Amino acid sequence: MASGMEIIKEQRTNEVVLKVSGRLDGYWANHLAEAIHDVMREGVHNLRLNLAQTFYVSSGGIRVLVEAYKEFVGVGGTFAVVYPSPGVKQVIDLAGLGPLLYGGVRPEVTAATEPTVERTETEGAVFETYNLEPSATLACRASGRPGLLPDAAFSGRECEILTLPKDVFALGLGALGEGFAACRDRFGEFLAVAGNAACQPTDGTNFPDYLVASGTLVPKVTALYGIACRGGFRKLMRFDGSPSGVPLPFSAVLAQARRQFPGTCLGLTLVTESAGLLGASLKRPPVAAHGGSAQHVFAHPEIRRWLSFSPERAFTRSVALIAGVVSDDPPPNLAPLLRPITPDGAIKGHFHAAAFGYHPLPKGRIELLPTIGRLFDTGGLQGIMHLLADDRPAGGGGESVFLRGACWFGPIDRFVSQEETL
Amino acid sequence: MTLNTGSSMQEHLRLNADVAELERLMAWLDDFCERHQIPEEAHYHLNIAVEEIVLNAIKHGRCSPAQGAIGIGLSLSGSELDITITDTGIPFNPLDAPPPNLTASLADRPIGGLGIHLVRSLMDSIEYKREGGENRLRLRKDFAGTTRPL
Repeated sequence: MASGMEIIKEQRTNEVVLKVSGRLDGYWANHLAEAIHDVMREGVHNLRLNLAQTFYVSSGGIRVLVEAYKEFVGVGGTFAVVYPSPGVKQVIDLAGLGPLLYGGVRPEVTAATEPTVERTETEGAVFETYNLEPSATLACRASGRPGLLPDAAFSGRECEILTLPKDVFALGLGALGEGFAACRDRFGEFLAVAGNAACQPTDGTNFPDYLVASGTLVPKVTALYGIACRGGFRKLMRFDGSPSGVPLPFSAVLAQARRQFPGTCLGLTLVTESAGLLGASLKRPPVAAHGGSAQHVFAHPEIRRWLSFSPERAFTRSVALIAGVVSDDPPPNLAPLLRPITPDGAIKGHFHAAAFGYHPLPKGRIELLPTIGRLFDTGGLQGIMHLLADDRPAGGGGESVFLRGACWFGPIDRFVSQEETL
Repeated sequence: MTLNTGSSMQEHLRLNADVAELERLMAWLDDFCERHQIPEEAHYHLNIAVEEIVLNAIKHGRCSPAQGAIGIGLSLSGSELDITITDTGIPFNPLDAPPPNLTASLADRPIGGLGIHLVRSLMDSIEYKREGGENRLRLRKDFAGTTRPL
């Protein structure tokens, strides 16, 4: 019996066929798993595996087939093994998986048939917008003194404890825990959406931390400064750059969302299949006890001690949860928190992103809470960063780019002061 | 190494606890089966059973040191294959694993346990012993009558 594996991809009208030759054993199974993930990342929702020339399969190979089945069905697609060789068929049958893997059970397809409110095609990318709650609005509260960041001069006086229930999204600098003393060595970028809070600690561990609302437990973050929005989103926009084969820049998604509510301050939450995030995160807590005040965080060469930033995009094969706000005319307490977030400087906002292990997103109209809950349940949080735009003409990374994704967004119609609660 | 013991031929292979060793294992099994003209179906079943046991020891056995941690002995007597697999990993009797529920829905079905289920299904008998600090599994397969090509 020969060793090795060869995979040939065949594109058909509504499906992709992978013809697999060779051994599907515990060693080569990973090779097939990667090929299947590559197909998923192209946005394919129907996959057939032709195993006519696969003469060997072990439980390691079966595991890849079962996981592929679950992932395709999970996004409203289909997966089937076709023309299995006698040896492969024997093992699949022994495992009791024939009825499912041979395509005998067709998963229900629900998402793709939902009516869209608006469909736009721009430069090869497709945008579909769904109306959610027509009267939904967001209230926004900005807190803290972001002006202390350049001098890393935060102290216990500026921090406050934010409670983050499911109808709030928030971002800023903070740490999981209650009180300055408990968090002073860990303050970093945080992001909270739908009752899930994630923080990038600056204590040297580099392992992002997160907390998920459960029963009466509501996550709390001690924040040095932050933006929090409470309420509902009015629209859901699905976007897909795959028809053009070119990833979509963040600015293109924001421009489409802003077209729906011209001249309005918007709150947005996105879940995207990332082709690369451009951003930065703190390496050290920006508090006086950690050498702040004496030197400027953003000055060279000090910036290297303080910030983790790569001119190359990071998290190129991940799912990114992003939340933030954009505004052309922000109120005075929000304005210090907004920066140009597109390379041309045309859009001002503030966004944080949390990157998770890759898995494809279902098509069509999807719900915010379960989509984000699934990320925290299964995705493997990899890191949190503050998103940036790089406008340097040579060598600049530009901005974050996405294969496809979902964006929930809506107008912010009320700004509350730091002394008020949302 | 080959020992000629009358009617049976015993051959041995030692592997490191490293998944990259699977290729060498399969080549060795293929060579054995071709030289002894083992029918194709029995050859296939032997490959699956040995891979399942060896891969389990590599992945979960925590063999230390990994160097030479796994041994495989094959002997052939008439139409009966006698396979011994030893590893220096933590004590683990795969026969203690409950049979997988093959009728549960796919979403609820754990994949773990499928490997030993395949070994049980494809071999005639399995015995386990913990001996001299090693897990020792003995598998038997009589391939008389299994001549049809796959």
